[in-house]
Amino acid sequence: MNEQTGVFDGSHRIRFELHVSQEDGFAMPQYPRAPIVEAVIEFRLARPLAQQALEKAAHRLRGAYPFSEAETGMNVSFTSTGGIDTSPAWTGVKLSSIDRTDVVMFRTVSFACSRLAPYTEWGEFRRRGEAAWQAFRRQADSIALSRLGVRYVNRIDVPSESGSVNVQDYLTIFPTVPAAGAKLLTQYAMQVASAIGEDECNFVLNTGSVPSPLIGYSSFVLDLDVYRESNLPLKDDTLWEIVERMRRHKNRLFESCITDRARELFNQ
Amino acid sequence: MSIVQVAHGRPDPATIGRPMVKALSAASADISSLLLARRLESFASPTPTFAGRPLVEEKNLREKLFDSLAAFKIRTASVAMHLDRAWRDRLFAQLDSLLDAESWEADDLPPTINSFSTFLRMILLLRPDRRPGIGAAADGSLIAMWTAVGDRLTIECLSGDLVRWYLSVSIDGENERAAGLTPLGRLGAVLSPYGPDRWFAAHGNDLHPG
Repeated sequence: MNEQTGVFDGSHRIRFELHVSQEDGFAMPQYPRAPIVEAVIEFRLARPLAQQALEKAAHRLRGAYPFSEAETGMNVSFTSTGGIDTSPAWTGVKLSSIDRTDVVMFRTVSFACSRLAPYTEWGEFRRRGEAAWQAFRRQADSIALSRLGVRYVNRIDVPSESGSVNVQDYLTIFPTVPAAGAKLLTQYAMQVASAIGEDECNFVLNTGSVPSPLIGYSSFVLDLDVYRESNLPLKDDTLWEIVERMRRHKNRLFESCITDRARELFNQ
Repeated sequence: MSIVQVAHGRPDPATIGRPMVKALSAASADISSLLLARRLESFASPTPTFAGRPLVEEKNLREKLFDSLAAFKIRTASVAMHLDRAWRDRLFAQLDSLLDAESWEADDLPPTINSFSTFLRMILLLRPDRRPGIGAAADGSLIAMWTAVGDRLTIECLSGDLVRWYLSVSIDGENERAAGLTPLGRLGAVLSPYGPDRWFAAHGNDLHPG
């Protein structure tokens, strides 16, 4: 068990304790109402790819992703007279399934595959990611990566008839504010970043209150991004093996951040 | 002390489910303050899926309807963990049919995402066993309709958790009609004297939303 504890002293003190189990054989529970709002596998490229190659790759996936939307940025250049010229620049293409829950993004600087709620299961998500990556990879002679990331954005919706919710009942990571500072929190946001200590992976954890999509509820986001930026593999087999391990780290983090009362909500 | 107060106001639909950070009120040139402000901004920034900027062009009705349908399905995804899978699929079929370009006139206004947001929140609040018929008003509002043995309930979903409702019921042999403009949070209370289960309770093969 690797325990990480942080305390920031100031007028408002924030505590967090994360227990990251490093035991093999960790089994992630399957929750009927998993709070996953979005799951993302993202690979960032060390060198940009050309528009033509990405459009060809997108064309290969049109069966599974019938909707295709071009994305643009802005080119800004300075003229010899000191003026500024701007023109739209193609930055990538976003492909979506018919129900808009499965999304693939082929961008000049990155590849990403995402699944919106309702989340199904990792095996299916990974298979979709691998298939899209194959189509992406086929269009480039060589691809060098600068970052691998597995990110899960969770939103925990807590019913509250009393009009307030104690965050500690649902999350193990929360701000504590001195009693003299406030009676009730109206909103909070906190970010924790750390090395995981395995597989050269790091994580960024964002958590905070968000306006709830349900009336009479309080909602909290728990956004976990596990990533690796060094010794990135060139071969696909190794690449997906690392992604698999990153996902396990993400699961352990998630389980260490929630309480049994939160689990009850996901099992209802 | 880490107790969060549940917001009672009617939230801006664009902020629902999205992390929010308050801007630091006093400007500071201190580098650490700037770094902290940047981190807070990154917390509220969208995931890669929603970070790209779509190509902005003047759109015709067919394209607007297409965009509306996409936006409604994406908004539904944000609460899909609270919806029965089959119920969601049937809702999508209703939306596909409602927003079919063949049924629209060139100067019609598609329903707005804010109206659809109110519709979804209403469904998750009332959790009716019977799904409503859906329609669209000329001003871009989505309309939910229930009918049961001649008793009708029509709810027009306005933006910002407001609903305009009309009903016609027969109680003890007398016909009654009523209408009102109500914040969504009070809708259950204002409908209760009319026995809303006549519209919402399950009949036969109806599916519960979640």
